[in-house]
Amino acid sequence: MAGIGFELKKLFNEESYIGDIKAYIFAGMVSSGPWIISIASLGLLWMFSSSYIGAEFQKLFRATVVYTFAYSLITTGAIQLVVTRFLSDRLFLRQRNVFLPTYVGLILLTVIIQGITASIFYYFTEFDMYYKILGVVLYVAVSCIWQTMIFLSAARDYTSIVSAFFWGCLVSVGGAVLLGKNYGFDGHILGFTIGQALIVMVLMYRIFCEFDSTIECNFEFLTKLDSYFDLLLVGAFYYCAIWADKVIYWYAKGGERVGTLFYSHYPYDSCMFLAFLTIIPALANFLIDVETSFYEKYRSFYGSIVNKGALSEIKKKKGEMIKVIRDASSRTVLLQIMVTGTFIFSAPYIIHLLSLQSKHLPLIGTAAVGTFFHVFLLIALIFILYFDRKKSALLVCFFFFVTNVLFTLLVIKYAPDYMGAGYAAATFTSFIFAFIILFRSLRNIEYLTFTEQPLVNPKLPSESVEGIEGEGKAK
Amino acid sequence: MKTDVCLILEGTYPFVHGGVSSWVHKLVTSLSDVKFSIIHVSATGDIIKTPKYELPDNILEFKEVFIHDFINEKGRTHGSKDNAWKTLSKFYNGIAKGDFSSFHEVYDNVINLNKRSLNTNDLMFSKKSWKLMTELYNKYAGGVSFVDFYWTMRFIHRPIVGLLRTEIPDADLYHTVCTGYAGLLGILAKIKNNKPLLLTEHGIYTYERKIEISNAKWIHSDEEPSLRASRTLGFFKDAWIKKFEILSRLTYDYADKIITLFEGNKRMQMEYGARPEKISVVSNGVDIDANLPLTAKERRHTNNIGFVGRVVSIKDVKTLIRAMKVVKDSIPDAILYVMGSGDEEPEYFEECKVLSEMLGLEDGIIFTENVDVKDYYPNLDIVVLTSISEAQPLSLLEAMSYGIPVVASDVGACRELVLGKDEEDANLGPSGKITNVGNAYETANAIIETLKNKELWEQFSASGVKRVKKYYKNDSVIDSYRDMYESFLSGRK
Repeated sequence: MAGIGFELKKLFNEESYIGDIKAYIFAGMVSSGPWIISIASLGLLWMFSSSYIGAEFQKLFRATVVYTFAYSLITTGAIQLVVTRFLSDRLFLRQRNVFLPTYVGLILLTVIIQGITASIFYYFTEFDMYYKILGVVLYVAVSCIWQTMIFLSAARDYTSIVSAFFWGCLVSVGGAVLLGKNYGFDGHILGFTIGQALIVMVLMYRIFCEFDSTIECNFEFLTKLDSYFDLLLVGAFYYCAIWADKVIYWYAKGGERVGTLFYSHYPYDSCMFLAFLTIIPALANFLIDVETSFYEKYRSFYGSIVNKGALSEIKKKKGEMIKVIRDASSRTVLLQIMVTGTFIFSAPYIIHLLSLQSKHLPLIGTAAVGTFFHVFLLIALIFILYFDRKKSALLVCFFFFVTNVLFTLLVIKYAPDYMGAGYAAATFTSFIFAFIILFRSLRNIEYLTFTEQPLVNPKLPSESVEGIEGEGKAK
Repeated sequence: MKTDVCLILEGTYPFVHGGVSSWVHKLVTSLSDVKFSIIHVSATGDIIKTPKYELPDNILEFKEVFIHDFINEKGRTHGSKDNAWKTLSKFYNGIAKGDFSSFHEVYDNVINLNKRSLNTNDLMFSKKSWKLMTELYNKYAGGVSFVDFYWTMRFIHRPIVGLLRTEIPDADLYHTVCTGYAGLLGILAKIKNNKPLLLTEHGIYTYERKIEISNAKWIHSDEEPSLRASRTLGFFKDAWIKKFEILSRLTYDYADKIITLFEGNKRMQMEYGARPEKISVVSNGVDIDANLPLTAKERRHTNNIGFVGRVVSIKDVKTLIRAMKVVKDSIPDAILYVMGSGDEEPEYFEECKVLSEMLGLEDGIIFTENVDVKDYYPNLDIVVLTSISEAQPLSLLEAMSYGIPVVASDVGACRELVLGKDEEDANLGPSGKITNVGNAYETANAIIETLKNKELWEQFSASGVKRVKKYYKNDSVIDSYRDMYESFLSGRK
């Protein structure tokens, strides 16, 4: 991920204030572009489609898409960290030629597994065959999108990702509207699916251009599931945690049943998804900090160990590194306060935009506050993974999952009026927990780095030093 | 099972040949009425070693411990361990000043297993151990490469920590045959069982480790080699040497009696901190009645040169091979028999063979590997030793008992074996020649002169036999140990 940051730094050096803004937007787009585009296209479709399909079908469509996104993210999210790690290790070993075979293997696996799961799910619905098939295709396509994005991120081909999403979603919206007007609901969903499939195809095409090697299957990453089992669980728990409160609300009071198996909770879902967009500017800012100033300090810290520095020098570098983390975090706090504040102040307009009732005003506030803490939870988690503390990351994600389930259930039971408070409480406690763990690890980072080296079958010092350096470079 | 004497050995009997091994074997077989147990410290259990000796019946128990096999004691013991850490800190700061007196406290508060003592996990991985390590780093090592400091500390301590939990056989007397790790086990046994500890040191452990470490390439050196001719070997090599110095020093402190082979070794032990009143000299001995020298008539004088010993770098066999090149030029029918195993340092053994081929000595040097040297002695005309370090080499004594002149480098007790240790001894006449370490040319000349001058040869031969008979009879060595054992064991509780 280093390359993009340095490119951003160039942007900062070139221009003044306007340049800054451009860099932020750019970083925002690459980190969260797909999200914005997807949500924007869903919003557009919501506005257009009411004219030619009924409200009932609108809900069904929205539920289908939300289910598809939620479950595909949860199921693929588990393996994504493992594959990311596998790829960055390979990249460090300069084995780029395994990328394409690994990609083919992963996609094959995704198509088969996700195809089967979706088929089983749709088998129990009452839809007609046509809708069932499209539903399965959409689910598989979206799953493939997430998997493909890991590979393009590893290749730092962010512009391809964003432009593929832009054009794909444009086709999704256009196709849905056009086909929907002519062929009704069936046409609507067909048009949308075509757009998503286009995204997959464009991204795939980029991959085949990027990694020019023989096309074969490689399932080597599966052999790493064992050693990266912690990462697998980190991914699984994180995505489960993110969706836990939403799923609970679907089945709670105010949630409604759409079709036979779908559930949704319109006010909750729409406020949460919209509030989640406020993560973007802060994450963008953070991305720049990490990729530029933090990464330099991080390298020079591990460098001071590897290059036989004295303890005082190692500690000095550690201090500098921690300072960068503190600075980056506090800058992000300021920025996030402004964004969240603006969002909350515009709550009345948002209510209007989403055609919600005014009793949902507090929901917008809690959703925004929850997202506010979510940003810092995510930041802490990224740092924890940067220092390769997989067990700690797992603990944080598990904590987030448990608190989100627990607090959401408690709020529904004892304070049903405070919708979203469960999520906010969960992100708040988890973020505190994550930062305590992060700073505790950081305080002892040199101790942990040294002591956790194996003792029973010791590598010679030089080898283990390379190991440390490898960890650093692999990021 | 309780025995009279527990011998504590390190890297020797019954797995390798050599002076110490044959000494142990002779001691145990001769004192057949004493019940022995043996605890042997080895590097690792991964390599299967075949014993080179058959253990006599009076060895009732044989136990092996491995310094590289580390079993971590997981789990925490409860309660504050601050006192243990304080003791440990005091000990390290003490030894930095040359004060070893607080080891007893270390045993009580740190090693001796109880709720407040430290388990191996505490010692190797805990936050407190890191704290102590960085404290020592800041005080004594500030500025050196920390990554090397850490690994040096880890490697230095790992075998020691691993040995702390060794279960030592029950005995009334502990007899360690070197300092080092075996010495540490001896100390632990002495404190734990409240029994006396006897130390017999053949080669001086600290000195031998020093030679090894100076030549080691795997220890990081901070100093630029070309910048200054420094007195020290660099921080990390010094640290390793320091470790062995400390182990030796502690063994000296805890031993009730220290035996060494000759005066020169006694002086060295005193230099490394042993108190002189504890030290007695008991030299090696040979079985003079079994090794009858041949009469001048029986001897055939075939210019056979013998080397008796393990083929290892400390014996510097290469210098002897180079000397052979010179000898061959002047005595073309000379043949060198290298009699000893190359198992211990196979690479060195191979290098020796390659060197002799490179010098065109294929016909002049025969590597016999393991043989019964007794079959060869009668046909040897001279025995040569070019070691870098020796204690009191049995091979020289044996050669002399057979009436074979010797040429030996000026190390250990070689000079006094060849030229006599005092005036009375010197009056017996030299039994061979002494050369400088690593000097192939000088060695060659000594060999040539001895072999070519019949009169000189006869004189060396006769003096050797006389000297062995007078000072180095095996019976008297065994008698000394029997007496010593008896004096310790008579007071047993």
